[in-house]
Amino acid sequence: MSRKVQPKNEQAVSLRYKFSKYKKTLVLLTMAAPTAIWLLLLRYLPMGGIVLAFKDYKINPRNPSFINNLLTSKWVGLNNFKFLFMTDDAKIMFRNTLGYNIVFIILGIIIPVTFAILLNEVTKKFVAKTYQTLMFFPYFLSWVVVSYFLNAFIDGQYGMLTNLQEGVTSYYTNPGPWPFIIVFANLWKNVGYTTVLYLSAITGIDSGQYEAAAIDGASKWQQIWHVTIPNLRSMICILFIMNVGKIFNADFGLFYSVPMNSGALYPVTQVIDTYVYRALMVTGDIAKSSAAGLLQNVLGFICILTANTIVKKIDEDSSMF
Amino acid sequence: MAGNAKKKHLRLNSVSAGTEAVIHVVLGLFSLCCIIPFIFVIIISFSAESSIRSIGYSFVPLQWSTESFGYAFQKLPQIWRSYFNSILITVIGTVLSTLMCALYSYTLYRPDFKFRGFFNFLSFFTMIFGGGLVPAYIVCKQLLGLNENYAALIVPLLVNPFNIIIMRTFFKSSVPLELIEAATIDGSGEYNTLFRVVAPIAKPGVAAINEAAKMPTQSLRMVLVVLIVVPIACAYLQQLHGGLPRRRQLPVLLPVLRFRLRDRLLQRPSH
Repeated sequence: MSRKVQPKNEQAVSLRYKFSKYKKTLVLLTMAAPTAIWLLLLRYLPMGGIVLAFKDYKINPRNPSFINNLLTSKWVGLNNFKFLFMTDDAKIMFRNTLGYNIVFIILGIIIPVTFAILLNEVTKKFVAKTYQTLMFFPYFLSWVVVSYFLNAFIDGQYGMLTNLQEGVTSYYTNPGPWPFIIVFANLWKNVGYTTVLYLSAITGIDSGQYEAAAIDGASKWQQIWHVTIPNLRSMICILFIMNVGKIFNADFGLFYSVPMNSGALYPVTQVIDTYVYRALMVTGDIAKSSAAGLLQNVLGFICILTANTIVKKIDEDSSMF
Repeated sequence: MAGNAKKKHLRLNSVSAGTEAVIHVVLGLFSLCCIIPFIFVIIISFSAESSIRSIGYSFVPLQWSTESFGYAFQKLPQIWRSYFNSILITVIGTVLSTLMCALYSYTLYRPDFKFRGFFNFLSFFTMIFGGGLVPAYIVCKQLLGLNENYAALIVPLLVNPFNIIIMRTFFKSSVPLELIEAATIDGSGEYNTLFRVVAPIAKPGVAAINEAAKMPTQSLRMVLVVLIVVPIACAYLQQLHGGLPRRRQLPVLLPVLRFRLRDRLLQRPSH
C-alpha cells in the first residue's frame, strides 16, 4: 500500500533497514574480531614460516633481524628433507611416533570403553563414583609432576623398585622397559578422563532400549554389543578421527619429561616433537626443525582427511566434516 | 504394578554376583594403581631425609618427619609466588578465552551473519593444519614480543578451535533463534542480546568448555590436597636430587613457574 502512496517514505524505510543490516553485520564482526585476529596472528602468520623448511637459514651478519635473515637465506629446495632422511634419527623418530600413537589409539579406545561399560554395571552408585574419582586423579597432573611420581619408583639411587631388585642399576640408562613405561604412563594419565567421557555417553542412552532388549531375551553380552556399542559409535568415531589426525604429533611432555630427557633412552623415546625441540633449542637448526615440523603437519593433514573419508564410508553421520 | 514390573526388569538386567565381583577387582585394581603414586609421594614428603638416604623411598620409612614442610616453609615466598602466578594465569586465561570463544562461536551460530562461512573455515582449518612449532615460536617471540612475560603464558593458549565447535553446537541445540529475533524486535542490541538473553541459557555450555567443570564435584576437596601437598612433596624429591643435571633443577613446584614461552607452547592440551 505504501509503494503507491508514499514512495519516498518506502525508500527511507528500506534504507534504514539496509543500514540496520550493515550495523548488525558490523557489530557481529566486532564480536568475531578478537578470536579472528588471534587466529590470523598465531595460526595463519606462522604458516608463512613454512618457507623456512626450503631455505638454508643463515644469520645475516649485517642486519640480523629474523625477516632479513629469511630473505637473504638461499633456497635449497628439498635439501633439508633429504638431510632429515639420510640420518638414522628420522627412521627412529618416525617409527617411535607412529608406533606409540597406534598403540595409544587402540588401547585408548578399548580400555576406556570397557571401563565405562563395567562402571555402568556396578550396582552401588557410590562405589562407582569413587572409582571414577580415583581414576580421574592423574589427569590433573602435568607431565613434569608425573615424571617425579615415576622417579619415586625407579630412581637410580633411592627408587623403590630399583632398591627391590638386585642388580638393577638405573632405569634411566636402560631402554628395555621404556616402551612399557611410556605406554603405561600415558594410559595411567588419560584413561580416567576418557572413561568419564564414554560413561556420560552411556548414561545418556535411553533405558527403554535396554528394557526392550531384555524383554526380547537378549543376554547382558548381547545388550552391550547391540545397544551400548552402537550408541557409542559416533563418539568413538570422532575421537578416532581426532587421534588419527594427530598420529604424527606425539605428546611432548610424555616423551621429554617422563624419561627425564635421558640421552641413553633416545632410541625408544625420540619422537618427532622432541626431535624438533632438540634440533631447535640444542643445535639451533631452525631450517631442519621446520622441515621436520612441516612434514609432520602435512602427514597429519593427509591422515585426518583419510580417517574422515573412511569413517564417512562406514557411517555417514559419524564423520566430522 | 508398572513400577514393580520395571524393578523386576532392572533386576533381570543387572549382572550376576560373580561377574560383579570381577568388575570390582578390575576397576578396583586400576583405581588403586591411579592413587598409589599420590599416596607414595605424600608418604615420601613425610619421611625423614636420613631414612631416604639409607633405604631409599619406601612406603614404610624408618623415621617419619615433617622436615619437607619445614623446607617448604623456608621457600615460602617462592611457593607463594608460584601459586600466585598459576592462579593469576589460570583466572585471566580462563576468563579471556571463555569470553573470546563465546563471542566467536555466537557469530558462527547466527545464520543471518554474512561472513559465517568464512569465519567458520578460519577456525576449522587451524584444527587440521598448522605452520608447525618453529615458525609459531618465532612469530610469538620475535614479532609479538611474547617472551619472558605474563602474556607469553596466557596469549598462546587463548583460542582452542575445538572449544569453538563445542560451543557453537551448544548454542545451536539450546538457544532457539526465535529468542534472538524477539530480543531484536524489542530493541535489544547484539551485545545486550548475547549477555542478557543468550548467556544465561548457555551457561552449561560455557562450563562444558572449561576443564575444571568436567570433574566430579566430590573430588574437589581431594584436588585441593593434590594442589598443596603434591607440589611440596615434589619439591622435596627434587631437593634430594643433588646430582641431577642443572636443567632439571628448575623449580618444578608448578610447571608454570618457568617463564619460557617454549615450555608453554610445548605443553599443548592433551585432547
